[in-house]
Amino acid sequence: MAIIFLSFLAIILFIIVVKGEAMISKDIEVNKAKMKKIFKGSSDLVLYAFDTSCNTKALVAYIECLVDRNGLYNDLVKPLIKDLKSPYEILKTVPIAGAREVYDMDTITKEMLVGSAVLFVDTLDTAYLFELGKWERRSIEEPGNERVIKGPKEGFVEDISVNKGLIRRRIRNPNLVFEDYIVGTQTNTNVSLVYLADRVNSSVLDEVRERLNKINVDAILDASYIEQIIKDSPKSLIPTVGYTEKPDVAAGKILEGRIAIISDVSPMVLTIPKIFIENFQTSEDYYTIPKYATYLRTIRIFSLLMAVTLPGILVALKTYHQEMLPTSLLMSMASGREGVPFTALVEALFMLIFLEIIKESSIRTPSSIGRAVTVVSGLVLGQTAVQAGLVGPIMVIAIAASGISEFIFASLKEMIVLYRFIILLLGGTLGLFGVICGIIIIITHLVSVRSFGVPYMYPIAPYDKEGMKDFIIRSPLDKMTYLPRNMSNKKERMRNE
Amino acid sequence: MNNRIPKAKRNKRVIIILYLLISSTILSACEGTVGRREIEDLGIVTAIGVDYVNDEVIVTLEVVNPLASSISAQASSTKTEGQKYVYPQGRGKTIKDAISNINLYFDKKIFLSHSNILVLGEEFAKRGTIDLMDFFIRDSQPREDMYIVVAKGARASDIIGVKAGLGRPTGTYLYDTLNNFSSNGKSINISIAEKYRYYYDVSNEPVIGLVQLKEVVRSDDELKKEEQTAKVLDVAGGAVLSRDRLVGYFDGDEMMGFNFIVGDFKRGTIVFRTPVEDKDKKGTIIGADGVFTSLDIVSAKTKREITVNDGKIHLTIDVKLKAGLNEINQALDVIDEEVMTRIEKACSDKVKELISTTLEKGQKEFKQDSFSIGVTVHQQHPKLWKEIATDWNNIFPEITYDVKVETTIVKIGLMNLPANLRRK
Repeated sequence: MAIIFLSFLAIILFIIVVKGEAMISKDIEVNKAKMKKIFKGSSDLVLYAFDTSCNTKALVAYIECLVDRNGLYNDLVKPLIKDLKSPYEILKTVPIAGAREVYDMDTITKEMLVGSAVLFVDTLDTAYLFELGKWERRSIEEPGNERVIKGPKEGFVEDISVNKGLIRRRIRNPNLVFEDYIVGTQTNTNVSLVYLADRVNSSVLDEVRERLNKINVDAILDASYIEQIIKDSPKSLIPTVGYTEKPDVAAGKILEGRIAIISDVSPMVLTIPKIFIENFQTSEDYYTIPKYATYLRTIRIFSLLMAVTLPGILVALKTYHQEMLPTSLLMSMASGREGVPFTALVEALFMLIFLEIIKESSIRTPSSIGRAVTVVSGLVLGQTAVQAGLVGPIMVIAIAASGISEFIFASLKEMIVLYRFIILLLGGTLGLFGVICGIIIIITHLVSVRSFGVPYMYPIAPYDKEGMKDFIIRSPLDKMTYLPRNMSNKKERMRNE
Repeated sequence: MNNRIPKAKRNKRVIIILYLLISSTILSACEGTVGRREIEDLGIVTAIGVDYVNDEVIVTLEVVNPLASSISAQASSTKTEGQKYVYPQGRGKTIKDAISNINLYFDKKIFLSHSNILVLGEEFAKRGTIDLMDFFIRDSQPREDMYIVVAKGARASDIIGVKAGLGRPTGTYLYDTLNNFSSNGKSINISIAEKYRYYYDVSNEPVIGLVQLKEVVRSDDELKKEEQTAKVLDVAGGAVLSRDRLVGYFDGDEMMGFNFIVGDFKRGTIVFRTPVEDKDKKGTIIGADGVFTSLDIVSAKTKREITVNDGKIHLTIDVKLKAGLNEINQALDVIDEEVMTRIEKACSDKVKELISTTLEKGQKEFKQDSFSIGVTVHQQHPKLWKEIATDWNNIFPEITYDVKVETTIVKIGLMNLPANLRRK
C-alpha cells in the first residue's frame, strides 16, 4: 500500500518538476535562468531587463540578428517604459501586429528561433510573443541559370516569405494555398506546398503530402534535399522533379495544376509532377511568337539527340560502318586520323573526359582566372592536340558539338553526361547496333518512369490531344483552352468555377 | 518489379554488366575483332576494273591516298603528285582471289564500299560476265548502285588511272560524267542492281554504259608535241549485251534514239538543219542549207503501242517533246508562227531519224530486243506474250513500226530575233 502511495507521489512530483521546467515562472530571474539553460548560454541570445512605467520589471529575450532591433525598441520597449499603466494591459499598449500570449517554454523556444522577441513580466506567469523577425537577405535579382531576353527578370531568393510573396503577386486568387511543414529534425526548416485548390490533382497532392510527412532526415539545407528524398525511382538518372528559380515559371506551373514546394533558405522552387517535355520548355517560349517557340523547341530536341548520341554514332561510323560516310568526308577523316596512335573509341573517351574536366574546372575556378582556363583548355587541348596528332579534328568537332548541345539542358545534365558515355561505349564495341540498343533502352526507361503518378512521356505516351498543344508545337495561348489532363482535376482553363 | 529480385543478386547483375562493358571496350582495341576496322587502315577504292587475260582474272583498283589528296594536306605542304592515287593490280582465279592477292603486297585493307564504278574490259565482257560477277552482289562491301561500264576497245586496266578532268580519281570522274547523262542523253548509266534485274527478264536484253579512251589534240602551239595530245575518257554510247555477253555498241547518236525509244530521255540537245526555202510573203528568209539549229529538250514523253494485225506485230512509238530554242545559226524570224512550225517539224524529223536508225540497228545488226519492247507486248497483250515469249528474239527483227514525233517549242530564249536577220 505504502509503495503504491509512494510511487504515486513520485509520479506527481516528477510531473511537477518536468512541467515546472516548461512553465513560465512569475519571477523573471527564474525565467532568465531558464532561457540561459535552454540556449546553453549561447552568445547570440539577448536578455534585456528593464523597468516599465508601472514599476514592474520586464525581460525581453530574443536572438540577435533574427529580430528587427529598431522595431523592438521603438514599438515594444519604448511604450512599455513610457505608457504602461498596468501589467495586464501590455497587448493594448504595444502596437505590434501578431502579438500573442503564450504559456509554455517550448513554444517560446520555437518561436524565438524563427525570429520572435519574447517578453516576460514580473508577477505574470504568461509571456508575450512579438513577431519582429528580420534578417539579412539577398535582394531580388535575375537568376543566372534561367536568363531571358523577353519577360520578367525577378528571381527567387533564400527567404521563404519573400518567395511566397513573389508567387502570390502573380496569382491574385484566394484559391492559391500555401501549406506549411517543418522538415529536418535538426534544422527545423520551413517548407511550403503551393497549389491552386481548384486546379490541383488531388491524388498527386495526397501523394506529395504523404511523401513530405515521411521525410526523416536531420537537415534540409536546400530544396534539392527534398527533391532527392521525395523523387520517384531515386536510382534513375531522369529528373522527375522540376525546379526553377523564376517566380513566373513557378506560377505558370501552378496554374497548370502542378504543386510547387518552396523550402526556406533555398532559391530553388520544386515543381511536381514533372514530365519529359518540360525539359524543352522555357519561360520565354510563352513570351515570344508561337511559331518561333516551336522552331526553338525542335532545335532543342535535335540538340538533345546530338548531345547524347553524336560521339557514339561517330565512333561507330568510324570503326564499323565506313561505307555509310560520304566519300569525301571519309577521306578527310582518314587523313585526319593518319598518325593518331589510339583507336577511335579511345580517342573519343580521351576527349570526352577532357571535356568533363574543362567543364568542371571552368565552373569551379574563381572568375579572376576563368579566362586563363578558357584559353588553356580551348587552345591547348583543342588546337594543339590535333596538331600533335593525339586526336583527329573531326572527333574534336563532334565532342565540342555534343558538349555545347548539353549546355542547353541544365536539368538533364546528369542524364546526358552518363548516357553519352554508355552510348559511346556501346557504339565503340557493337557499332550502330549498339547505339540503337542503347537508345531503345533509354526510351524504354523514359516511357516506364512516372512522376507522382503522371507518366513521364505524357502527352505522347499516353496520348493526349490537349497536352500535344504545348508539346513540340507551342500553340497560341488562346488555343490552349484545356489544362493538361493528367495534371489537373478541372479541365477547362478559362472558366472560373 | 526490381524489388522481387534479391539485392545481392541485383548487385551481381550490375557488376556483370559493368564487367562486360569495360572488358568489351578494352577488347575492342585488339586487332582482329570481327567487323572492326580503323579508318586509317583502309585502302579506299574509288574504281574497280576487271579484265580476263589468259584464263586469269585481273583486277585493277584505284586506291586513294587520303594524306595526299585531302584539302588540308594540299594547303599545308607540297606532297608528291604521284602519290595521290595508286593502282594496285591483282591476279587470280576469281575476282575475290585477285583482290585478296592484292593485299599480299599492298599494306592497306582493300575497302570496296566507296567505289562507284565497275569497269569491265572488252574481252571480259565478250566472254560473258555473269559467272564471275557473283562476288559483286554476294559480298557486303561492293555497292549495289555501283555503275557498270564496258571499256570499248580496251582493257579496264587501260582506263583506270587515266588522269582526266580536274585531276580527280578516275572513279569519281567517271561517276559524275555518267550522271551527266541526264543532260545530254548520249549515254546510259546502269548500276549492278539494275543489270541483274534485266538479266532475269526474258523480254529485254540489257544495254549498259561504256567508256572509251580518246586522244584529244589541243590546239596550242606553245606546248610540246607530246603535251598536245591529252587522253580523256568518253562515255558517249552504250554497250549492247545479249544476256551477259557483249555483242556490240551503240554510238552517241544511236543512244539518243535508244533513250527516246525506252522513254528515258531527260534532257539533251538536238541539232538539225531547217530546210531551205525562199523568201515568204513578208520577205523574211526561212532557212539556209548547211546551217544548224539547236533545240534544248526540256521534257520528252514516249508512248509505245503494240497493235496486232493478222498475227503481225506492229509498234507505234509516239514521242511528245517540249523544247527550248538554244541557238539559231541562220536568219530565222522566230516570232513568225510559220517559221516556228517549220523548226518544230524539222526537229521532229530529226528525232524520227534518230529513233529509226537505232531501231533498225537493233533489228538488223543485233537481232535482239534491247529496247524492252517485249515488256510492252507483255503489258498490252499478255495472252499473245505467253505464246511468243520464248521465241521473242526471233520475232522481234520482223516487227513493223512507225514513229510519230511532236515537238512544241516552249521557250525561245532571251532574244526575239537573231542578230543576223536584218543583214540580208
